[in-house]
Amino acid sequence: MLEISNLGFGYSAKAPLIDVRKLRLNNSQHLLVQGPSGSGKSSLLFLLAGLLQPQKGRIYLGETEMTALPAAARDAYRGRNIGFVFQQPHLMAPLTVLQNVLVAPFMAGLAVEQAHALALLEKLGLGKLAQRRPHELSLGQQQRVGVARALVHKPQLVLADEPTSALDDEAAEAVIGLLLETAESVGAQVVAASHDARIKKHFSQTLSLKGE
Amino acid sequence: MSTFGLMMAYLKHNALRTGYNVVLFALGTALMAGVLAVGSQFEHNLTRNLQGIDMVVGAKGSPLQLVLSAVLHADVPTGNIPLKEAEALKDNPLIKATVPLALGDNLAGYRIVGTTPDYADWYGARLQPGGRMFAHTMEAVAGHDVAQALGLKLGGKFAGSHGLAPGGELHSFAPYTLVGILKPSGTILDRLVLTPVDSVWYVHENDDDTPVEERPKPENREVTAVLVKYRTPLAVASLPRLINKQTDMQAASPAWEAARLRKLVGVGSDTLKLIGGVFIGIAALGLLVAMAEAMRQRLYDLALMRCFGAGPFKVMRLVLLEGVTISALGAALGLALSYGFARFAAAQVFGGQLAEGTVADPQAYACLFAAVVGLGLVGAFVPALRIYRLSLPRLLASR
Repeated sequence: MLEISNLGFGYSAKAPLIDVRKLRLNNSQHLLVQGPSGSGKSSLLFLLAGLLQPQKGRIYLGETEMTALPAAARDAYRGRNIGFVFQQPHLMAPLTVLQNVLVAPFMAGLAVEQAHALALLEKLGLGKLAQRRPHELSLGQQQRVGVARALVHKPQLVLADEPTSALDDEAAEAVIGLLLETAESVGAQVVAASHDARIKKHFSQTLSLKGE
Repeated sequence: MSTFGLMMAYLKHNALRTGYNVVLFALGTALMAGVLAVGSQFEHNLTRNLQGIDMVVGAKGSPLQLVLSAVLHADVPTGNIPLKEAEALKDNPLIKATVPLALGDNLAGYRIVGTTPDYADWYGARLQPGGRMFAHTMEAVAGHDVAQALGLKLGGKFAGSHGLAPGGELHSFAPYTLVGILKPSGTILDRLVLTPVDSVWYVHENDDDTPVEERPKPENREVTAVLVKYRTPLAVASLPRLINKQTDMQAASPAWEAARLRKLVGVGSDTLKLIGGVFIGIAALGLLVAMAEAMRQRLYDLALMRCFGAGPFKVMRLVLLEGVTISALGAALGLALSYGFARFAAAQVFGGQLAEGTVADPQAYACLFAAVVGLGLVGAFVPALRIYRLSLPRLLASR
């Protein structure tokens, strides 16, 4: 469960960029954050990830108040409980597909079975590509690897920043469908920031940001 | 997955950059190790050859030349001294023992030294089985390297050539008989042929090719130098001064001249060390620049790692480990190169046997290795610091 109360954040103290009074996302619900460029969509994701600290307000993930954690604890908490999907998949070029999936839990200090990662890749239709390098994959395939990387350690929350903007209709539909389906299978909630209207139908809640 | 495996994946991915940095570190290390080895060899030779010789007496001239020619056999003698004066030294109460040296001929470039068996004893030299020390005129004992290089056998005969360099007139009328071969001692004896002083006199007093009036007369016999051991340390203060003032001979202290030599050689050695240091410094700087560039290229990868929950120190460790690995590989390769070169040189000069002191002591190599790795660490530290200061939201939002 994700809960936000009285959240305020801005790069300039006089003009707050984000002002969310109350938001509650129950388990199995997913949130789409909408808004024009510069409206603070990505900043909200960074706040939820603990990469930015708000000027006011609180963010709860489950029973934990993220905003009250010191920096090192936030890093550790993020690693264990949050997954990321970015607009560009940005896989690590020297690593294989499988290694790219396993690097996220490794960085968080989590032990994830290789077999589990392989099963996840299989589920995402990438089973045969596990030993390939990122440059050998299409953009859609790379984005699916990004989905696997975000979900391999069974996080509570997946933050997706413009996950489909770079994809065509078919690939966008496939990726968002797989992301939500796989997230539900591991019990994760998804918060996606996007101005891509094609994916709105997949989300049970939306939040519109207007910016400064 | 492990930190080391991850780091190796990045090193392999940038094989050219990695190889370039490793080679730079290797060249610097090899040069430094080479200088250390040469210094060690020089010091070892000096120490072993000067051991137990308190004073050298010879003809007037440069004291360093006298020591070099009479102790290290690395220079031409300053001249000869009358036998009578040389023998008179024995009677001095401050002197415990003397050894005469008579030079003048060589065998294929190896000096033939007229002396007494005490000369070999002073260095603790031992004979190979089957041989014995010379006892009569025209008997000779060859040093280990001479016998090995020239294939000399016990009982064999050979003639010396006039002068101290090869190519002189052959004294074929007076062949030497080899009665002994010395075991390797790591001293100058390995590269000398020893014979009684009488042999040297005999060869030159009976040379048919020299007109009779020009041949040395027995009553005017000379030696080249005398090596002296003091009876008491007090001798050092008065004896050399006395000889230098009151006789036509020159007394030189090997220890004193060795110190001068160290100073002279030290300048060259320090220059080489400086060049080696500059190489390593350039390597460290190159690593810093290369790693800064590599970090810039994969800043997003490192930001992702932080995003995935790695603390700043964990990511910094990865970068520092990369610097340490590159410099350690370079240092190891450099030491291997230096050792390989020493072996190659030994194969050329000593027939494959690494001479004692050819390789500097392991502690010096360990210090060099640690210093190079330390520099690698410093070279990687600046880019690593950038990771520590990274603003993740700004970087992630930029793509």
